[in-house]
Amino acid sequence: MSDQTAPQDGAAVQSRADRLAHLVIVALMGAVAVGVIVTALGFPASPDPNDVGPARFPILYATGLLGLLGILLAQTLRQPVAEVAAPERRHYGRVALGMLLMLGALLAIGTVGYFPTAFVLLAGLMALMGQRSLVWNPVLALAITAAIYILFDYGLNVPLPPGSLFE
Amino acid sequence: MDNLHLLWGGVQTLATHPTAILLSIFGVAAGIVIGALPGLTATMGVAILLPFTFSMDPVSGLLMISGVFFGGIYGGSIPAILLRIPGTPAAAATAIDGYALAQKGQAGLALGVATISSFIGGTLSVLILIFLAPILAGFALKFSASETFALAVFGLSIIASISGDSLVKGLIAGFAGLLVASIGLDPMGGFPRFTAGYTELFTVPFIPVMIGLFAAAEVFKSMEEGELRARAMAQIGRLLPSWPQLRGLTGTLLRSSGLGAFIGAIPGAGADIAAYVSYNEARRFSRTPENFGKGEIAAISACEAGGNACTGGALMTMMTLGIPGDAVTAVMMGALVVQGLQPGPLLFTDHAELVFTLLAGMLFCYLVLLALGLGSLRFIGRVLMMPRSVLMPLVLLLCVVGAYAINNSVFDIGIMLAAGVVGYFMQRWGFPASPVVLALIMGPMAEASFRRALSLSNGSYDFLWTRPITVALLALAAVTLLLPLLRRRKGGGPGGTPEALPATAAGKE
Amino acid sequence: MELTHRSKLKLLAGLGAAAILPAGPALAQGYPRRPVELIVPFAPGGGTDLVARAFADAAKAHLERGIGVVNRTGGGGAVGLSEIMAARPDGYKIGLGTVELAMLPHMGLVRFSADDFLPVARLNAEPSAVTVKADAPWKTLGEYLEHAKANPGKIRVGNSGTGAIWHLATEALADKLGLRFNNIPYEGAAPAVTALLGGHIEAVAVSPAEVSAQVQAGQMRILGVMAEQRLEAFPDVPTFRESGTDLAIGTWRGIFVPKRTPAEVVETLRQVARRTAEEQAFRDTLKKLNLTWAYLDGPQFAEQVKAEDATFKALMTRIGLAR
Repeated sequence: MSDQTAPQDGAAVQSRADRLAHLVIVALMGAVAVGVIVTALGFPASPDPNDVGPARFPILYATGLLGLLGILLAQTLRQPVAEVAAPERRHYGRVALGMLLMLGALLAIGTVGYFPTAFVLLAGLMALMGQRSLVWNPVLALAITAAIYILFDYGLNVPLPPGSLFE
Repeated sequence: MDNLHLLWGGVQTLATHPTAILLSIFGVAAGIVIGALPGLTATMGVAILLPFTFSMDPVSGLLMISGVFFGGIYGGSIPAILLRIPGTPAAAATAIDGYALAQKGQAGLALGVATISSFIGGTLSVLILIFLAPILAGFALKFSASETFALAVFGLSIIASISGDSLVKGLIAGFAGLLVASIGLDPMGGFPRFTAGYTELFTVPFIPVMIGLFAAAEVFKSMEEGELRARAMAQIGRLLPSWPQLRGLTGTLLRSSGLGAFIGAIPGAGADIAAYVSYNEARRFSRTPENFGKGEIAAISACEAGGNACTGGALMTMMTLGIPGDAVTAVMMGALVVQGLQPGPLLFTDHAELVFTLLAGMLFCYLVLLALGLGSLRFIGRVLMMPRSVLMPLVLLLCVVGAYAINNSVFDIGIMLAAGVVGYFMQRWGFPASPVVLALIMGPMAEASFRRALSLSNGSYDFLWTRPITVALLALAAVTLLLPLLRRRKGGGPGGTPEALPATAAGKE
Repeated sequence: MELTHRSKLKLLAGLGAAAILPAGPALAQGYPRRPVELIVPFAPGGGTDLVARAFADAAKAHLERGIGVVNRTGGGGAVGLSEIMAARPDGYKIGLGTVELAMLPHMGLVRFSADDFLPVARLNAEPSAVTVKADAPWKTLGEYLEHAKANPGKIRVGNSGTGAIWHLATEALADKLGLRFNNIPYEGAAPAVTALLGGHIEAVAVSPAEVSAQVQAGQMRILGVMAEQRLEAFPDVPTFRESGTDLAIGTWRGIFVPKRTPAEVVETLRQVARRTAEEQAFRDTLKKLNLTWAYLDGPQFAEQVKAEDATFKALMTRIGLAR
């Protein structure tokens, strides 16, 4: 993973955006951990007197997480902030579109089934990533969709979603 | 040695049995395909083929099943290295360094090392099964709940080894993974925790989470890049490691194979745990531990040798004790029973001739795996020649199909997508994904066995310090967790660039 | 692809016909027009899956379009059983139901109850077998139960998970005789058997097939089975009933359809299930897999399910599992 991540010793600098992101992450995860503890306190005790019950371990994990978040918070606050030259333009809009396409596929696949969903998903993603040829895009999308279908459904006997519309 | 004699007899019997030879080749090939496709596991493959073995002779049927088993574990490494899609939990460990190496244009070397290590690990474990089974078989029985708990804690401590540069972020990812792992039915009382009423969440859909965190997140990240650069593809590079490279791996291979066979023999512990433990130990003994996580071939070698060595260990427990240690050996035990061979202490004496023919056949299966693996790598590596604008959408579609296939569930596709989005942001801000996977494997095991141990001891915590294996494993865990801290103190942190530059930048030169 | 496409056309044709003709009987007459899907709520390779696959294989001769097995795993059977319950009641999605469908509802974990299913046929049943190590001091069931009476909570009995059938079998025994055991749940029967072999627990209550390897090797001893009659595979092992404890409890597996499935469809499936179950090939396969053939026709099976549903409810309420 991010091997270039600076060791959080306070030596390296961080950009303003990174600092904000880390603070948001600490806040979010902290909220989750607190939520876990509150929920777990409502769990019933185990009927077995020797057992610690279902709540013990989640509370333990959440407490550990809170402690670690505290360390991360301290590290982030200690680290000096500086303007880092923006590395290069990154296409975040494209990432968001890709995620939305996947979300659409997730919502559609149950009703319309594998074939149309996979075809549209592939065509959309390929267009997004630069394969926009009016001939190759649909041909490739169709070929891959069919190849995977044949491999799973016939070759391996693993049925893909038929779609509730067509059942 | 008497066993050697019997084994030679087995080889001769096998040589006159063309059906068995053909079916084991078929089994290995099918296993590799099944293992390489995300969402399909060796268990599934073995279960699907089982009914066909009913009408076969015992040797042919069982060798086909063994072939699927072996091939399935090895096959997972291929997409893990090439595309960062871990087909199996064990391959998630291989993906760490395998994919990093592939990003440096040396996918071929990564695949070659993985294949050779799988072959050596598997072969050594079958040899251990042949010659040391009576000595080692009883070991599995020493593992009660407290030992399993200690093993899980040791496994969790490995998070320290795979955290990358920020131990705190690695541990945060690990603890978050532990929380995710506690979703579902509580392992002792069956109480539903954090499920929001979804029956699908009663057991954590572990493989979809893994596919999302690794593969889908990687594709999302690749979407950030400009189109021109996106077209330049990684090279395959050379396939076989050089002789000095291979010699340098000897220690890793032997150690990982031994560890793998050992861990495989423990019921409930499988290739995933073996791969991570082997990784950890390879790093501990390495002269260049700082290279781990950045494309170290010893890491790939350790994971694959350890993972595949599990096969021999798991078979040993199943064949000598009649106890299946995991789902695959459970199905294989069914296959043995169907053929009129009752696994258990009497199997090796009552059916010596047949058993040794089988064992010879298993060694043959691993040879087939080596040949098929090395023979097809050049062809499989072609995948990387595809333009990225087609390859990346294909990977996402495979993520969708793989997440669905594991339980035939659309819900799991949603889990995969959520994990992919979370994984993307984790990667963006320098939180490693592997600790989450490790926590998902070890978390439930740690909790269940701790609470079981407590029940077994009638509520006394004595089991934590009165049992030698437990104590040894817990001590090992403490060392693993504290070692990176000590190292950092001594060496001082290396100067780093601002964080969250994607790892790929290093490979692009 | 060809198949689905064709079935889609047939469906469209069927819809067209349904618009003109009275719907009910027309639909049943043509049943089945396409392959029937058999939902298995457990993973491939397990006992339930093996029964399903053996059944689907043998049914080919009796059901023209065949049966496809689909595993829907998760939640100790809850996910798959929920899907069977919620399936369109047209006979194209049927399920392999297990004893869990009469147990899970009482634990407050699922939205279905046993009444939501219509039993078509029972295919297989396995009793609970109380098993100890061969070197255990108890030679007979009587000695074991006496020891349990004298040492309440001391005997550690492994089972395949809290709320699973083998756990309930032990609890039912304890309940019946006023005993107390220390129940230790494992992730399935095999780890429990391993723990027994390693001497970490004193006994297990699982199906006889799950300990047969160790019993044949002389490492374990079955003290008694909670069955109506002695088992074919273990003729020397007494039933609990013989030893004076009136208890028969165990798992069963059979074909189920959602409640509102048309009677004609159910009738067709019942005939198919009966003819399939009576095939020698099906019986042989089960025997090879160490599974007990136990065909029972729908109506009688329904009575059993109903009775056990009530028993489990009472038992689970008493031991604090019901929610």
